[in-house]
Amino acid sequence: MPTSRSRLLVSQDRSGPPPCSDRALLRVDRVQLGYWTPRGFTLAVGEASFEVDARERIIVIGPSGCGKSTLLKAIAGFIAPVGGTITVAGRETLAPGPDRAVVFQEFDQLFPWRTVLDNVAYPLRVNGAGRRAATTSARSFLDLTGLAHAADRYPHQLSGGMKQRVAIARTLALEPLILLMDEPFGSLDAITRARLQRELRSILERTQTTLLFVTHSIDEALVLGDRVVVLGGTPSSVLEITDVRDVGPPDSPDYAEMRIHLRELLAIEGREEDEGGHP
Amino acid sequence: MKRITLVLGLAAAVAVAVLAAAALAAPRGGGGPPDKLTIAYQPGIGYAPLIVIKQQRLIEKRYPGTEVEWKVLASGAAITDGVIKGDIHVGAGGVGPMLVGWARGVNWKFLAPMNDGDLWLMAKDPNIRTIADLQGKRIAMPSPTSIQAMVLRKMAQVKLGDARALDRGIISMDHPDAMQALISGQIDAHLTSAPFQFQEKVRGAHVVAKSYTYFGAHSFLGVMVTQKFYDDHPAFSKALYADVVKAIDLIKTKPDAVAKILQEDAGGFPTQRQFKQWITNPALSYTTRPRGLMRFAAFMNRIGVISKVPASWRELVFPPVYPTKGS
Amino acid sequence: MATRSVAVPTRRPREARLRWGRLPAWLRFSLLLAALIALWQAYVSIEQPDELLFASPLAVAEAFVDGWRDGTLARATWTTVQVLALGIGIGALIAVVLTVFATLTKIGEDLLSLLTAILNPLPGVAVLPLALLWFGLNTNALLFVIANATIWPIAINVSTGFRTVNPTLVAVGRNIGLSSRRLVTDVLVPAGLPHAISGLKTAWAFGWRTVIAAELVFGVSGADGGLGFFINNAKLYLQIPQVFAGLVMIAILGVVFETLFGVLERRTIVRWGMKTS
Repeated sequence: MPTSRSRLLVSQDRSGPPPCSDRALLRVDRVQLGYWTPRGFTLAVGEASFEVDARERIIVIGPSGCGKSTLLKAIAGFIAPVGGTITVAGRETLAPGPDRAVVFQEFDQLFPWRTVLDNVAYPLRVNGAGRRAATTSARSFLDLTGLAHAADRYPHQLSGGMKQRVAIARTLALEPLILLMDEPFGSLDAITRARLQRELRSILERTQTTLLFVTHSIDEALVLGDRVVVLGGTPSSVLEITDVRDVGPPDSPDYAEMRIHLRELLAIEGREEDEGGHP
Repeated sequence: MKRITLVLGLAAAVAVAVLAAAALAAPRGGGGPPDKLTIAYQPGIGYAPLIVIKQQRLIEKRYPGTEVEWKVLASGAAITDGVIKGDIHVGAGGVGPMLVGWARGVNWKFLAPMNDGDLWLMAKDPNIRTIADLQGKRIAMPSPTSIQAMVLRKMAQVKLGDARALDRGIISMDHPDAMQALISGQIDAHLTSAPFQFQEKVRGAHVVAKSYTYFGAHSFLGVMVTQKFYDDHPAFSKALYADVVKAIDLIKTKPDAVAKILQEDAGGFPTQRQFKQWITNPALSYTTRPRGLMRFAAFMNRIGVISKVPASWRELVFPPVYPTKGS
Repeated sequence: MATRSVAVPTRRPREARLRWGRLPAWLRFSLLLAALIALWQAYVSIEQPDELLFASPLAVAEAFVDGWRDGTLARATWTTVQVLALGIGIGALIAVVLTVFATLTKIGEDLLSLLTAILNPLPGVAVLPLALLWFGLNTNALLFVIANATIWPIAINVSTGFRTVNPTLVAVGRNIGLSSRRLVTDVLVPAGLPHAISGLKTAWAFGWRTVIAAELVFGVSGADGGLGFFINNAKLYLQIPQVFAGLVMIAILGVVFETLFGVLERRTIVRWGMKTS
């Protein structure tokens, strides 16, 4: 049953380093997710199981309403599964924490009353870093995302793309076990979106951060991902887990084939979605 | 260019509107009796002559074409305001507000003084026995410019050396409310007049001081009109003076009848017997002869409440009053 | 040397002509103010109203300067401001308590809605006679009345501010590991600041009007009187220029506080791009 939470109460998962016996960093094991409506209980995710290894980039893809965002929220610890377990580094994800830093879809996930620099440094200070160390680290991550020049601006002065870059810098600075991204480029225009996809990929190759990325864009999945988890059905389940590391650039035949394949998978389960920008 | 003409035109229109309104608001004069008359007085049996005139409808009978409105206001200051504005044509109030207005340029005088009145300072707390006991206490009276306030300041000057020593404690309340507050303990003292001081005495308060002790016998209330009103309606004014004299005569010769009139005016309560007791009490003496006006004026001038002093008492009254040889 | 004659335009180009909108703000308002005062003086000079009813700008200025010089206006102003500040402080405190209760529990939210609906519409001056009865004829009655005028605007606005905080920000706060307490202080409070300031502005406006009106009605004399008392007292002594001077002081204070609020807003919610109105 879903655990009840008051709007403000937060519990922290702050016990020591986890006992880790196998390689899989994230393990989603026969997870069922659902919610209460006035009409009763609805199951969003019927059963999902998959594993993510360290340094892997997993894309969860599926049509709208298939529960992929819900799954991400469960991994992040905002909601609890009604069945099955989710573990990260051996520990169950019962509460949100900086080890599973999230980049949301909305632009206004930055604190408007803090500068860009402070938005990145403040979470570090919250988690115990000293003021100077936090600032230095923040600056280096802003550098990484190409925002060093905007460090002293306020979020309302930035464009959408820049705001998402700050969010990425903030999450990476926390050096999470796994970076969770919930359609972060969905509100951007096609050109900016494409640019950010490329930048994200090169940043992650440098930081070697594990990634779980939710999207409904096939092209985005193919550009960013190592493996693709396809969700579908009602209630949804994992239809397929495909390795897309070797599909090559977008103009290659392997790419086209994979794209068709994934489109078919998604099309079976309902409306086909707009697939986002791809240069 | 166009915008400037627009702005100027607007400004001119506003100016014209303002001037027109001012012109329309100016009252009209006349020679005979006024068409519309508003007479205002305050609570208290000191106003008995007016109440008699009111209940006997003397004015209405003599001038059937005049629309007469009688009003009761809470303080002399309110009456002063009304006279300045022109809403009130005949006011009745104490010597204090009359002098304050007169000194500030309200061109009015006493048409008919109505009585001399001993004003008593009442307190309920047995520990308040002298003026000195009143320091820091809350003392109620109609307003800081009332005759009672002047009396208080005179008491303070004589007993404490500083006329303003008790000013901080002055609370503006009309007589009925203040009486209620004194009895219920919300205020510490009440400088008041008849009949309230009598009523308070009956209900447990005691007299701390009396105004006659400090000023000698002095006038208390009178009927005032502006110089302009007197000039515009001389016959009416003289008739009103004569009415007051008649009313006072009635109070002296037929107190029972007057007590009944007062009782009817008050809606039946207090009783006729009580009214008779009050109007025959020596603390209140009905007369059109003004007394102590110069003394009050001199004192008020000395403590800075008014900035000019009349050369003689005649400056403060209209001709019908001259023969009474007042002071 | 050959000279060429150039056709001179018969009208200056639009941009070069003096336009009202292009003057600096302070100049525009000063000129308008001067014009209004001139109109005022003109009315007095032409119409010559009774000096017991209306005062000329010159007389008012004189009374104003005198009032400051002998300290009466200064004392009255200070008294009023003190009472207002204290009243708003008390009101804000109670408002915060009610708001926290309303944010944490549903019954608190209902209670706040109900109390606000009943008590907010009560004008402060209407409650004053009752307050005088309960608290006696002293400043406590005034404080009660002002507090009542200020609690509800602050409480409504702050609780709205809390309730309408972007849930994404709260999610981010939880994600980066903030405790409940820090979530409130580091996320809810700054996020709710625009509403809090709006509530404070409304509270100040109500409180200001209430305190002046209450002082007028209150009628307690002496050096303890505030601006409302100053005006009423001047009127009793028929010192009309002083009455106007008191009103001018009230207007000035109003402008001062508006400016202070503006500064506060510029330093915070405007800088952060969070101004909602």
